[in-house]
Amino acid sequence: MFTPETARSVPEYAIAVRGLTKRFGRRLAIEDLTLSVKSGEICGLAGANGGGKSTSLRLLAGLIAPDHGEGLVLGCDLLRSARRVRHEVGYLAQRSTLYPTLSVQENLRFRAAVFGSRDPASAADRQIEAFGLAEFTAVSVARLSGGWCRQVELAATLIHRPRVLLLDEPTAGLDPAARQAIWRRLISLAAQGTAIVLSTHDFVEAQRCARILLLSEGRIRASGSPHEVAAQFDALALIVSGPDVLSLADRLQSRLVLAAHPMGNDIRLVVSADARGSVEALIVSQGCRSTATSLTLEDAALVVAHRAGALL
Amino acid sequence: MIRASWGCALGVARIETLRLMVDRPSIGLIVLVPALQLVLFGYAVNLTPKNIPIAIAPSCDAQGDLISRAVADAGSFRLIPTDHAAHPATQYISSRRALVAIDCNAGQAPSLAADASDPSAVRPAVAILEAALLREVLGSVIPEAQRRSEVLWLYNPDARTAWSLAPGLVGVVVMITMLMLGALTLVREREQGSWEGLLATPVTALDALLGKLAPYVVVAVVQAAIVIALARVLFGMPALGNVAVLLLATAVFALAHLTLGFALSALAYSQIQAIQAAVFFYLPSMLLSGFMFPFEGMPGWAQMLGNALPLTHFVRSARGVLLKGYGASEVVAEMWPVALFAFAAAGAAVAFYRRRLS
Repeated sequence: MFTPETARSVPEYAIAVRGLTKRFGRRLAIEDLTLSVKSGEICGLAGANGGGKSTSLRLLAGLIAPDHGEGLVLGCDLLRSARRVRHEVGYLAQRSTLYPTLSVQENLRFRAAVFGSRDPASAADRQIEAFGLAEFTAVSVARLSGGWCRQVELAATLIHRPRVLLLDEPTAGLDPAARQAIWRRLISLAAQGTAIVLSTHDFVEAQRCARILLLSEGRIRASGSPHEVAAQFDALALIVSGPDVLSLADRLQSRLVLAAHPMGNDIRLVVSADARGSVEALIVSQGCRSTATSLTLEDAALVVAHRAGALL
Repeated sequence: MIRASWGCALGVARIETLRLMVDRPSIGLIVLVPALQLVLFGYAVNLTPKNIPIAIAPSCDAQGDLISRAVADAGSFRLIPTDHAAHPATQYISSRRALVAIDCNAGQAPSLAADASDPSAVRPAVAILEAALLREVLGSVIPEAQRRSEVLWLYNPDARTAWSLAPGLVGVVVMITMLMLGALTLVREREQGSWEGLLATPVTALDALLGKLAPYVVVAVVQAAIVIALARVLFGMPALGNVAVLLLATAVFALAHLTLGFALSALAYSQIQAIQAAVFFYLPSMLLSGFMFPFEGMPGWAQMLGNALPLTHFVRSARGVLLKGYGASEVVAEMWPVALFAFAAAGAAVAFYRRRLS
């Protein structure tokens, strides 16, 4: 098993943490977060809201100290050298952290200055050019669209060329084109050797990560590639077609089915493996037919949520 | 050990200054508020009692000349017409026609009645009237020259209210502005979201404290200079001591309230909470510092509390420098507790800096 000790002798591991736990008062935010990420790897923290994704990223970024656990980020100890960690990583928060009344250039210049740039103005200009922000240089951040604002935020996060990127829902609320622009940049950064950990509750997006951790209620429920995570649950999906499938779904939802959602004229049911026979019999009795298929990542998250009691 | 990185602190100071500069209404208020308050208080407030309505009951007709001379000599009263129906004289007060009334009984000294529901307005005038009456009574047996003792009024010979108010007003304006600015600093950033971005940088709590508060210290010194300059121009207030030392003291005084505000800001969940906490501090400061009410008149425990407040020391320093000619040594002797206060508040602010990230 990978440990922070071995990380010291294996430099390609940019992040190596073990057993990180954080509580806020009596509320468990994250428990026993163990994670290792290699340079050039994109790792996703997926799960519903309140699952512990943001707290995990804040722990990795050295913003908050864990109650228990240990870890290294780029060889810096998370507990003893949190400031050094903050110097080395790029952290993108879920909400905009830019100063809304100031211009794009001033915001970038500020970030460059506090990260120790000798020429903050030039550093800001470089990012403006690299991100195609020239027309917004003197525009206050408050006047930018959501997509451009996120691009500026990412430009600010990358201004000190970090080798580890921690991104909290980097594409939330963006249209497909803006999402694609962000992802293109992330892929390019990973190709250059940057280790990236990002959080998302969009499971289509999570599938783009090489590896994911599925979090729920502050605990890791599954980890691996998206395919491996989906395969870890003893459940399957049934595509049901036939007359009046919506009322069938409505009747089934609270009993044998973990989750159900429409897919055009059909419905997709997520069913525990041991309930498959009963469900299929019921489907046939209603004059409908079903086809079994493997779970998607979103199905897996719904299974987790159902079993954690979050879905009623 | 907490160390400051000057690069980070300067970066924060620069961004804070820029944010202040683009907030034009706030800049206007920072300059205008002290000027308007000085003009308002300087021209409107008068601590010398004047035009207090007084009634002399008809029962005093026999001693009328003596009492009238005493009232005129006191110089603080306006005689109201009296009638024979009002008796006793307190009826003039209960009917709200007079604040002070004089009644007489044969063979006795005149008796005074006063509306004590607002003692600060009436009590000094009554004291003056008592002295004037005593002088008139003694007039029959003691020569004029021996009836009035000479008083040498130092530092403010004409007892000009503006002169006594303006030095304290410097402190009050700076205190309220700095406490509010400090109290809103972090909590406003937290509500906007930029605080998390700041936490994710190498900026330490001390860098943030120094960088965020330094521009406001300059603002405080400018505010103090505006009040002092206006008081000199409008009211002819002297500046007998070293004004540069007073402006340095203003910087220390401002820092004490900024760091306290910063600590409150770090603890508060919302801007409303931060403002409430600031008000909780500055109201007692105004009442217990000797700015509005005589410090020596307070009970011992209240004086101890007052001595723990920076405004008390600043008011003394400002009056000392402007009216008494204090120099650096007197100001340092008065202001060191304020520096101590600033240091303790800065410690609390640094300790609380990361409290609210959850």
